[in-house]
Amino acid sequence: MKEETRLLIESGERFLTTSYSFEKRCEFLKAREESQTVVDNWNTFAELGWTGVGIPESQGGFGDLSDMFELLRVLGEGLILEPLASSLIGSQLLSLSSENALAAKSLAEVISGESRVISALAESKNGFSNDEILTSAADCSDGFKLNGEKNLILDADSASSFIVSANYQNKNKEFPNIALYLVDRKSEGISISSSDSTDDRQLINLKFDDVILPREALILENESANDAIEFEENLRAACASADALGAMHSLLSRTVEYSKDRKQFGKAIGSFQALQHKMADMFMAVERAKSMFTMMCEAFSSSMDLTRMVSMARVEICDSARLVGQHAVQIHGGIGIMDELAAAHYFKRLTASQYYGGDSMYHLGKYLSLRDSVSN
Amino acid sequence: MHLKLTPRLESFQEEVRTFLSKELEPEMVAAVRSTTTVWVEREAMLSWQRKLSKRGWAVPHWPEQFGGTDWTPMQHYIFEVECARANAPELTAMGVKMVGPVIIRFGSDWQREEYLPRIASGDDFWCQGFSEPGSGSDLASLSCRAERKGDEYILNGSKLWTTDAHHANRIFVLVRTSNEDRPQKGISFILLDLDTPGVSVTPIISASGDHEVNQVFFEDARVPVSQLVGEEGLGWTYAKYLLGFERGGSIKAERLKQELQRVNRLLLSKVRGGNDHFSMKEIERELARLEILVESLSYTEMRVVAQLEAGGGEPGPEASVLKVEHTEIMQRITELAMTSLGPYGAVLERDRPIDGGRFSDHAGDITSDMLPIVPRYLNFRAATIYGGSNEVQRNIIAKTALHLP
Repeated sequence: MKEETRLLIESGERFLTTSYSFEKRCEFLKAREESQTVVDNWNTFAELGWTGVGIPESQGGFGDLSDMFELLRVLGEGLILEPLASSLIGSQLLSLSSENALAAKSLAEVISGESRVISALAESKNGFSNDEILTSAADCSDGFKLNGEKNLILDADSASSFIVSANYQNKNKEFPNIALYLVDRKSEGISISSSDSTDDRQLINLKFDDVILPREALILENESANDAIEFEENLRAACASADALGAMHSLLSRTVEYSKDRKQFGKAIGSFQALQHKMADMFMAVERAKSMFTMMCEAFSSSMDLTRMVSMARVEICDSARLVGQHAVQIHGGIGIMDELAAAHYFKRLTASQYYGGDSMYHLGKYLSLRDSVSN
Repeated sequence: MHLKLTPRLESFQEEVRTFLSKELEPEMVAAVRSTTTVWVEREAMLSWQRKLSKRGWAVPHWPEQFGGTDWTPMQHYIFEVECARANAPELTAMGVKMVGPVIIRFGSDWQREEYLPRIASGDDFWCQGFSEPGSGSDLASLSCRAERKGDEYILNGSKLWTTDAHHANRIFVLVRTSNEDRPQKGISFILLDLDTPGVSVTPIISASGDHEVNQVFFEDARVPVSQLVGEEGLGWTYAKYLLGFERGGSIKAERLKQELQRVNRLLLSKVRGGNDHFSMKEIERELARLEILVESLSYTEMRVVAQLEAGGGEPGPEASVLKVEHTEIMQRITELAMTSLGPYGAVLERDRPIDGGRFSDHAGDITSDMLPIVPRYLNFRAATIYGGSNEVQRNIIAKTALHLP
C-alpha cells in the first residue's frame, strides 16, 4: 500500500474515533430533526483534503480513485451522514470538463469546501440506468432552456449546483445529442421536493421548468458526455460498494461483540453453534466483498473492461450487504430492530445502499449482457 | 494485485507455460476432463508426476534440500494457476502435500531418507488413515490402537473412507497410544507399508458406482517403532499441521474457471435440447452468478498469496475460508453441469471402468463429455464432508477469526 493511501486511511479512522462515535452520530441526527445548529463536519473534511481526493493534483486534488474508495470504505464503518461520496462523484465529472472555466472554478470551490456539486442524472422512467434521457435542453437567446425532471438524487439537498444530463437540440443540427449542464441551484424555474431515505439521508426530486442556463453551463457534450454518464454509473456503484463494505465490516464486529455479552440459557449466545455458523457466514461474505472491492479498485486503475468488472463486484457486494445486514439483526434478536441501537442503523444503511448504485439484479443483468450468451 | 508481474516473474510464467505446452500430453488432459472422483486416474497422474519430477517441480513447496524449490509464494501461485489453466492433472495430495510436509517437519533423518525421494518421484503411493467408523468429524475420539511391545507397535482397529488405499503401497495413520489425559493427547502418527501382515483393504463402492474409497483393517499388525513420526502422543499436533495443507495452500479458482467453461460448452452444444426456450434464462443467471463467485474466490486467493508474499506467515482462518468457498462453489458447478444435461441428467451409466478411468465414446447420443457429469455430481457431495466438514470449518472460523467462545 502506498504511504499516501495509508495516511488517508489513518486520517479517516482517527476522525471516526474522535468525532463520529455512534452516540455522536445520534446527536447529529437529533439536532437535524430539531433543526438546531448542526455540527458541521464539512470544514474538517475540507481541511483533511477529503473533498479533493481522487482529483488530479493539477486541479488541486490528490490521490487516485482507489484512495477515494478506500476513504469511503473507512468512513462507511461510521455510517457518515455527510454527502462526501455524492460530492466526490460530482467532482469527478467536473474534473472531466476542466477545460470549461465554470466547471474549473466550481471544482476549486468544492475542493476548498465552500460549495458542493452533485450529479443529478437519474430519471424515474429509467430505473437504475441513465441511458435514455427525457430532460431536454434547447438553444435560446441567453444560452439554453432546460426542461424535465431528475429523480431520487441522493444528497442533492446539500448541493449548491447540480450536474444535469439532457437531450440537447442544437438549432443547427438535425438530431439532438447528449449534454451535461452545470446548473446553479438558485436558477429560476427549479422546484425541489425531497423524500427521506431509509438510512436517514435525503433523496431529492428536481423539476426544471424553462430554466435558463448561460452558455458556459454546458460542460460536456456528445461522446464525452456519453462516456461521462457511463463513468458516473460505474463510479456511483463503486462508491456505494465501498461504503457498504465499511458498514458490513463494522456491523460484523459489533454483532460478534454483542453475541459475547448477551446471555440466554445461562450462556453467551455467541457460544451457540447455530449463531456461530451464521457469523462465520457473515465473515465469509465480508471476505468476498473485500475481494471484489480489490478487483473494483484495480478495474478503475486499468480502466480495462471497467463496466463488466464493476457489475461483477456490485453483484457480490450487494449480496454480501444483504446477508450481513439480515444475519446481524437475527443475531441481535428483538433489539436488532430497535431504532435506538446501532445494529438497526447499519442494517438500514446496508439495505438502502443496495439501491444507490444499482442493485444486484440490475448488475447481474448488465454482466449477462456483457458476456457471450449461451442461449442463441 | 492482479498478476502485476515483475519481469522476473513474467519470465518464470513463460518458463512454466513452455514446459506445459511441451510436456503435458493430450491423454493427461483427457483424463482430467473425464475424472469422476477427487483425484485423476492414477496412470495419467503418475506419468505427469514423472515429468514434473524430472524437471524438479513435483514437490515445489518442499525445501530445496529434499527436492523442492526456493520459489516465492507468488511463484507457487503462478505455477498452480498455469497448471490449472492447461488442465494438467493435480498430483494426489496424500504423498506430496500431506505426509511429505509432516515427515520434513517432524520426521526422523531415517524417515526422510527412506520416504521423501520416493514420494517426489511417484514410486511410492500413499493413502491417509484418519477417519474411523466411530470417528468422523470428531476425529480426536479415534480408537484404532497401537500398543507398544518392545521395538514394535501392534495395531488393531480400522480406518474408513481411505481414498486410493487400493492403489497405495503405504499408509500414514493416526492411532491411539494412550487413553489417559485429553483424547487429543493420546494420539500418535505412524507410517507403515500396506503389505504389512495383518493389514487388509476392503473396497467401498460409492453411490456413483466408483471405487475411490476403502476400509482398511489392522489385526495385530506389527510396525517397528522407527515408523513413529516425532514423539509418541503428539500425533494430533502433526495432523493439524497436515490438515492446514489439505484445506488451504491450494489454489483452486482457476480449476473452477475451467469447470465453468466446460459447462458453458455443454450449454452451447444444446445437450439440454435446442428447443428448450423456457429454462435458458434461469440457467444463464446461475452461470453468471457462479462466474462472479469464482472471480471473488480468485481474488481471495490472491489476497492470501499477497499476504504470504509480504511475510504474513502461514494462513490461519483463510485456509478454512478457502476450503468452504471452493467446495461449495464446486458443488454448485456440478449441479449446473447436471442441469446442462436436461433429461440426460437422469442417466448414470454403469458401463464404466469401475475406478474412475477414462471413458470412450459411448454408443448412441451420449458423448464422453456427458458421461462424467452425473457421477461427479454424486461424488462431489463428499467435498463438503472430507478434509474437516464445512461445519467444522465454520467452527474454526468462529474460533480463530471471530474469537467466539
